[in-house]
Amino acid sequence: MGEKEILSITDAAELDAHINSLMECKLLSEEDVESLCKRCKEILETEPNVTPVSCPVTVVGDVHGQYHDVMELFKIAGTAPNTNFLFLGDYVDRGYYSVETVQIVLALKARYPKRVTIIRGNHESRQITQVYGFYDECLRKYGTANVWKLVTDLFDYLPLAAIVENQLFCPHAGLSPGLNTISNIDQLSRFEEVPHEGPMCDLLWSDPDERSGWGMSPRGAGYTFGQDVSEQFIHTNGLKFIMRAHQLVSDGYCWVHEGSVVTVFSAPNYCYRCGNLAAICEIDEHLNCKFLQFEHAPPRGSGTEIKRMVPDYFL
Amino acid sequence: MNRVDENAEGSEAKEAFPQEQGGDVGHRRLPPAMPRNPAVAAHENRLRNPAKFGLDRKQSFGVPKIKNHKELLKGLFQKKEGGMPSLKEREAAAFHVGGAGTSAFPGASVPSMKSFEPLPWSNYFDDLRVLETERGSFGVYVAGWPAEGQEPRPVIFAVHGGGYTGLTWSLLAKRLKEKYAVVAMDLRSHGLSEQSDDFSIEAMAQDACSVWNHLCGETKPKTVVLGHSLGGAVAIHVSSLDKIPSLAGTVVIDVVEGTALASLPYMGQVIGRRPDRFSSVQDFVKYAYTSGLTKNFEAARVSGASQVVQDEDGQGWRWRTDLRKTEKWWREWYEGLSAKFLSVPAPKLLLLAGTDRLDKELTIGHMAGKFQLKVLPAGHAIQEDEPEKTADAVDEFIQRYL
Repeated sequence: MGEKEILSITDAAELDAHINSLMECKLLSEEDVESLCKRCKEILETEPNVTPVSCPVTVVGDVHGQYHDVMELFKIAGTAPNTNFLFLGDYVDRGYYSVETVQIVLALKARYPKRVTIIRGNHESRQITQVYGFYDECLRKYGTANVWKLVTDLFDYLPLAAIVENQLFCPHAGLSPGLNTISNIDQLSRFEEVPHEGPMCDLLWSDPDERSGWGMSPRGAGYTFGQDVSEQFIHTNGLKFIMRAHQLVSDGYCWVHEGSVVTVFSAPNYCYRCGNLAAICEIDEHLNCKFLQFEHAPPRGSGTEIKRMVPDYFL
Repeated sequence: MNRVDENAEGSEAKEAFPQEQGGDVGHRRLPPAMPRNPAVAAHENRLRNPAKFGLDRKQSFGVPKIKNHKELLKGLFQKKEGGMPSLKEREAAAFHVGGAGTSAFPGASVPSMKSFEPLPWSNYFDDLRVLETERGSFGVYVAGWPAEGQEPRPVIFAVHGGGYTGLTWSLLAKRLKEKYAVVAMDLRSHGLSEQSDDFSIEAMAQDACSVWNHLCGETKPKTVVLGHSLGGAVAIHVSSLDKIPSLAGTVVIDVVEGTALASLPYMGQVIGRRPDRFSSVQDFVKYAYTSGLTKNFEAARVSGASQVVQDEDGQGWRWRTDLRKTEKWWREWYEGLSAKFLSVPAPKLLLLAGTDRLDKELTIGHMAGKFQLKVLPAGHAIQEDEPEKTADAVDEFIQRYL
């Protein structure tokens, strides 16, 4: 594993240049995206389904293409390599800068593979990105779907969850009735499109619920799981608690199941209309969590990105 | 400008004319068509297509026997008297089937002008009744109702949008009736139902409950309430009235409070731009298709005749439902709808023609995992434009939660 950590000086310089231009909201050329995806693929394919992460680390929930808010987040949290990051997925869709957002996340991963961990969210999927914006944005910004193809092919390599110091389990969404242990998850074959059902789908879709036991998720995919389920999973796997993203919570973070599960959501004013705060979580060497909340970045430019269509009619 | 959705139109047309094997539908997954603004499209089309098509009528045989139906059926089985369609008609048809790009030899892909002729409801539904209830009489189309002694089936109780009729569900019913009983009622002052001056959402929701009770009150089969547009608002109200004890799910098609309220200021204009009169039912069917009311020939043909009524003087046809008279209730139909939808205890599916139609409340609700959202790029009448995909979505939803 060790040799992958060492980048050649030219590779490092090239990635630094990518990062610098992305930090100025300039997207990469198609060739650069291709080489970046190739590099990330090589790194990610060696990572297990549940990727181990060390402390200290800053955990980031859904960002959904809200590039300017990600920049705001770096101002608050610092940036790699000075800060270690764990991104919990949903980099793309809904926001108008999915392309820039996913590229900066991938460039940081490629440049600092041991300091940046990225996992898969339910939007890191060919099917979902065709409906919720990433596909259209790629077409708009590159004129072809090549970049979308390259990036969504890479999504198949993303790990399904992370585990911080063997004590905090961090999937994008939740648990699955088919997975009782971390090693169950590690045994899944993950290098494929997110399926419509089954354990891999559940990790990316399920939500905690007030009702105990398992329930059908109202989302149409995954399950709801009660406090008893969370506690059992924590007990079985010797965990402290579960940290996940996936759900919008108005304060940016929200504890449920009496401290067994915490949700972190990092897209402030989600979809430019929800008025919610965002949060990230700084976890220190002793696994103490500090949640930092932030508001959405001031609107940019002409504000045309917030334009919405009035539909035909509604009778 | 509205050529972006030629893909969708081409394939729908193919559905209506299975003998036509031309055209490419291999790219359906590719970029969703921008929803076309029917107001604009209607205007353009009126410029393009002169209003008169001079289609004569004659009565035909085989009219099913139902009650209170004479007026409606006048238009249902009329055929155009002999003769070839005019060049203009052929061109118009070619333009809409094959798209502007195929215009070099328009004749090559022109469907016969028979395509604008109405199709009978009985191709899609098994039964049409006019139910006398304590709240008045209502037209109800039924498909897939289990025969005596058969296993009871889940009921899909469908409510159409303003100006449409139960026949808007025809293509969907055809696809779902093997597994479910589909009940599609006509709202008051629509289709075969009794006229009324009260268009309050409460009154329409009570009507729906009353029709449900009439048909299903004794056996209480599991019921999924399905509504499009105004009918979606009615479905949400019905679902929150607690009058269907066996309610198993609510499916709403392309109506969202925030977006509906935002579009209300334009509604008067949109309706005002519609022609008031049509020379024939075929003329109306052509209008429904070319204006973008529906993007599906077949859907336009099956429901067209139920949406218009012949003038007393027998000279022309007009809308059966005067939507201008409903204006005073528009705001009331939609206010508080998102909160009401989220509070429905049953599983919920929202089918939208575009992601941007979600308002703040539903965006939050969706992102908190409160309901299922499915986006099917189509016009406003998704069930007509994409009957296959709509049927699959409804079927999957029911299979998942029942």
